[in-house]
Amino acid sequence: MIGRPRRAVVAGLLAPAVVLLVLFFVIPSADLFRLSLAHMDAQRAIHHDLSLVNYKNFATNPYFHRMVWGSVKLTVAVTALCLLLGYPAAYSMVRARSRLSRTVLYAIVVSPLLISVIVRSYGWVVLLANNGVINGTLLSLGLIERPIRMLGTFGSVIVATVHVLLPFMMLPIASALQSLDAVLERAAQSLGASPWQTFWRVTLPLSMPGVVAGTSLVIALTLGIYITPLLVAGPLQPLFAIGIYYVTLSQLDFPLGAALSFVLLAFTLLVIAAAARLLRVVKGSVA
Amino acid sequence: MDIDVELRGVAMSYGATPVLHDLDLEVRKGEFLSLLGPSGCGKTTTLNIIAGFLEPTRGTVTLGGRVVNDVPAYRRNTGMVFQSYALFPHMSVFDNVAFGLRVRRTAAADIERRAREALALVQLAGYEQRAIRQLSGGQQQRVAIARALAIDPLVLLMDEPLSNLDAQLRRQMRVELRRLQRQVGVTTIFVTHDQEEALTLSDRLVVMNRGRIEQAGTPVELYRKPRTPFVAQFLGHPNFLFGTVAERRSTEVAVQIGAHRVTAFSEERLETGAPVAVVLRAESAALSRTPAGGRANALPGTIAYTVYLGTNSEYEVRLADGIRLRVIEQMPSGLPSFAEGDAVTVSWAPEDSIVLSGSRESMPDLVP
Repeated sequence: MIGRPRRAVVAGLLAPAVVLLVLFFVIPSADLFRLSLAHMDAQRAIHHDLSLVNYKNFATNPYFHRMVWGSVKLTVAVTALCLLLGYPAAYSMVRARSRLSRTVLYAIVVSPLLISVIVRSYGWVVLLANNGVINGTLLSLGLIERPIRMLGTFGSVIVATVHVLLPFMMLPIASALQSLDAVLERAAQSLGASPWQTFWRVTLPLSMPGVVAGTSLVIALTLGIYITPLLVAGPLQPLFAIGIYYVTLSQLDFPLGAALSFVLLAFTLLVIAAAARLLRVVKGSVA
Repeated sequence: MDIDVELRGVAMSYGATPVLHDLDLEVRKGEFLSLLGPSGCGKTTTLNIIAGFLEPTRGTVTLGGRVVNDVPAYRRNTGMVFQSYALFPHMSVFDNVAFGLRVRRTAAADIERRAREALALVQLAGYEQRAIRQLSGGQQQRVAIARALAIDPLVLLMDEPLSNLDAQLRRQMRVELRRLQRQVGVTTIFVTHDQEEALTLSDRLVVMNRGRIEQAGTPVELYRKPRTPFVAQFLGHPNFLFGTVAERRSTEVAVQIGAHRVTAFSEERLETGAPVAVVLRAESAALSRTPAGGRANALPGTIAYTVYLGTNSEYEVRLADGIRLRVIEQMPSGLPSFAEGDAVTVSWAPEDSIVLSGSRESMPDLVP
């Protein structure tokens, strides 16, 4: 075991990252926060007058409430689906018999991360459009008479977002399952637990840290996602991040956009804190 | 005699690599049987086949009179104690022990009683609510045993359960394990590579080598009458003296080893001139300062080196023709009787040596 490194060494190792964060995150964020306290008048002139008018606007405007509600719905749906799809997939990936199939499965899971999110989201446009692959196939098979409208629906946003975020759920779960000694599952079976009982009583509880980590990642990313829903459902979809995009880039109300960004940031931090708390509770019973 | 576990012609291979060759094994009810052998001999594979974690390529596995080849591990009612203990880290001691009863949907009151009984059996009453990580290695070992016993298994399977403990604790647990097994009377199969463990614990032991059974029998039988060089080498600290049969009178055999002639007994029909090995255990030989005289087996030599071990001393004696013999002297006083360079005579009673037929070249398993 290597001893505790000296303070100077620690400081030296941390310095580059700290400098980078201060220059490109902390200072811009502070600037953005100051901007959120400014306000734009009817002539689109910005006044730096330290008012809370943007935050009041958020608190009272039903459009923004619909937007928050839309994001919450999307987050719940996407997180649940990522869990339901991601856990079994991560499990079979980790427990695959041959090294080769494990490697191939890992590559498949990681590969979407190597492709631009815009490209991946456009893939869904191609699939889901009225004259897209799915409608085209169904029409030519005679299963439907006119195209089903899929693009632009909330459902299409869910599907595309799940696709984009699934690796973020699977990788932490896979890593937790990897560190779970398979001999524990054998022990459970030798004691009479069926595969199902083994899963519920041993595998799942012991992989909870990965589940909680993946869940908080997916929650945070879903709350802030806008490219994917924008491409498959357009700028009118009531979602938090799309709202910010719209307010900032269409209405050019930068102060309001900044204020909304901070509301989203606070909301996301809250959710992550809750997830971290859950993680501690679970870990306390595990480690 | 009731047979609890029976293997008939069980063979196993991983891909093209055979690890078990047509194994036949019977374990009687209440018996403590050890599978002993070096790593890679197939002993753990055998255990896993009985537990149902591995499917044999051929052969039948019978548990309690029922062929279980198609019965999954969780319906075989075999309690297994793993080398790493494999305790559930997210459960308390009590929940670990109660696990097997809960998955069987035993009534709550019975779970409570039987789990507590099992913990009392391994002297861990009062530890119910402890977390696993708060226990020492020895205590974890006991929990693992209690957990396996709580389900009242048809057979208790133990895979090198003591190898993660330090030497002193291992000796202590050995005694404890024997007491426990006698008390509960559960049929037990114990896998180990430690000959001392196997000798002290077992009613019967099975020595395995390269996926085959070399010999099975009681510890005394195997120690006194090993039938193969491998078994002879694996139990105790043997010297192998290679020579040829010079003379044979009923069971008494005179063997010529270079310039020496020694006497031994053998039931085998050995022709004069046949190559044989006389196996002499380091523990069975005695050292003296007196010259050979007219004794049957007495070889003069010099102490080449000594290893002091407290209650005994190990000597290497070099004979005039270069043959080396290991001799272990028991020393109740803790004082060794000989020093390096002393001229000594190595002697032993003919009935304390074993004759195995074959030349050095015919015994490839022998470590030089």
